Amino acid sequence: MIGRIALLKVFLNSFFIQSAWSFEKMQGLGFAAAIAPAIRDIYKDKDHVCAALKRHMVFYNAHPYMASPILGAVIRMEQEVKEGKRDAKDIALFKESLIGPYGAIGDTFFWGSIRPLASVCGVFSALLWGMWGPLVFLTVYNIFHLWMRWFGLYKGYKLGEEVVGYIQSLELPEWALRIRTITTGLLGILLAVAVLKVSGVQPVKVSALFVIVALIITTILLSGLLRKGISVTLAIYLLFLPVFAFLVSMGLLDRIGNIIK
Amino acid sequence: MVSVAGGFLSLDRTAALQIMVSRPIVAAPAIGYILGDVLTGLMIGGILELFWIGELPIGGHIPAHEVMLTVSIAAISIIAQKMLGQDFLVLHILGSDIDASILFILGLIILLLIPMDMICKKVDTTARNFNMRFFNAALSDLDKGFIGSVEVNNIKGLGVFFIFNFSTLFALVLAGVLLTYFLLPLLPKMVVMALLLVFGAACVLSISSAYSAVYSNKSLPVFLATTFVAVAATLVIFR
Repeated sequence: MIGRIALLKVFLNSFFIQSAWSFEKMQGLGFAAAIAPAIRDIYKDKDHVCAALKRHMVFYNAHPYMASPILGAVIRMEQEVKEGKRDAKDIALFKESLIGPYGAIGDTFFWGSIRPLASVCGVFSALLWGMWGPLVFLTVYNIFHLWMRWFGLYKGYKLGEEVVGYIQSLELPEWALRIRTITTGLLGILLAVAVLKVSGVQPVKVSALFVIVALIITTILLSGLLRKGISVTLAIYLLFLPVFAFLVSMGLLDRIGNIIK
Repeated sequence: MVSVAGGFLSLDRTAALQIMVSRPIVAAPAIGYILGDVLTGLMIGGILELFWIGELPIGGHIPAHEVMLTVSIAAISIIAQKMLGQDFLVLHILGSDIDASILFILGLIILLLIPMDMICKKVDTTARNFNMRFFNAALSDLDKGFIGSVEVNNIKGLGVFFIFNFSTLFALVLAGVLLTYFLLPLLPKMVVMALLLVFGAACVLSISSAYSAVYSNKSLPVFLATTFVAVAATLVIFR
């Protein structure tokens, strides 16, 4: 068994797993640095520590949060290598086999679902309660993030290779889909509330309802373009330039320009 | 000061922690706080938060550098507004005067700065290429028996990211403030009014970007239903 302090150090080091990210080895150095306190605790002897760390100084890349269950499981496996219960090659095979799947799960769940959810909650809160927005965003996001960082590591260490089954039982891809649907719903409410708040809710103006309908149509059309691979950077020019050209050709900008004092 | 804060905030993007303090909704108000205008920072952060939400750092793909762009946009907008003075651009609508200079400045900055993402990405790529020497150094030190070198070299990567991001931010903010300060007063009224369109386009694109980021086959009915329910509830409550 490794000490609690060593496990805590691995947990803290896991926050820096991408500090020296490179195109060639990606998180290779970060993974070795994260697991180093546990390796020192397991092997004690300097030569064995060096040999074990060198085994981890290879190409490695997964979602940074999903690296935690792998880190935990690898620590357990390193202990078994020390006890002579398994071969060191098993560790490399285990890590390699999870790079792809855990990368995909993490990207879908955290980047593709939790982050948009937290962002929409944050913007919504900022609209209603001002400075609470950033706090709501950070809270919603980090509940999931820190849960995976700590419990992923802990469960990985406790279960070893069996952590794969535990992660599977969490049904993260299914939850990702549900969370995306919830976020879409919140986005609809955000759109309506933003327009009504700017236009004034008492009484609700007919023009505000027209703006909402126009925004819904624009959102659906523009999102179709974005999903086709057009970047938002290009889209802002595609949206701005034709409207600008139209208003100039109609002489409208000249007329409304007079409202500038 | 802004560049130093931005340099630290940008570390959270990929290099360290990733607790999302680098996201626009947190970074822009933080820059606003440093510059004494936290509410403008919050407004900028709220708009830009959803703007790049669809950009995912998957595998070796480097997404839009939203931290550097957000910090630059927030800092230039607030500093330029202070330099140009209060009531620089006042709109006279329905008999009342509204100071809307921040909206025009923001429109100009967004138009000028968003293409700078290419430079920010290039800087990020250079930093990542630079990091390979830390990997090699750690490996060579392990051969010599220096165990602590692995963690030390890993942390050195943070320094590289910070220096690259800090320098780029410093250059971007300085150039942006000077450009805005001298360019905006020279623009014809027609072009200045068009800058409001950029601000509007950014707001619309933010919602569209978020919608496309969470798009699934259930998105359309859910989106329409919740918008309708929100409007109906407002109508009932404020009848």
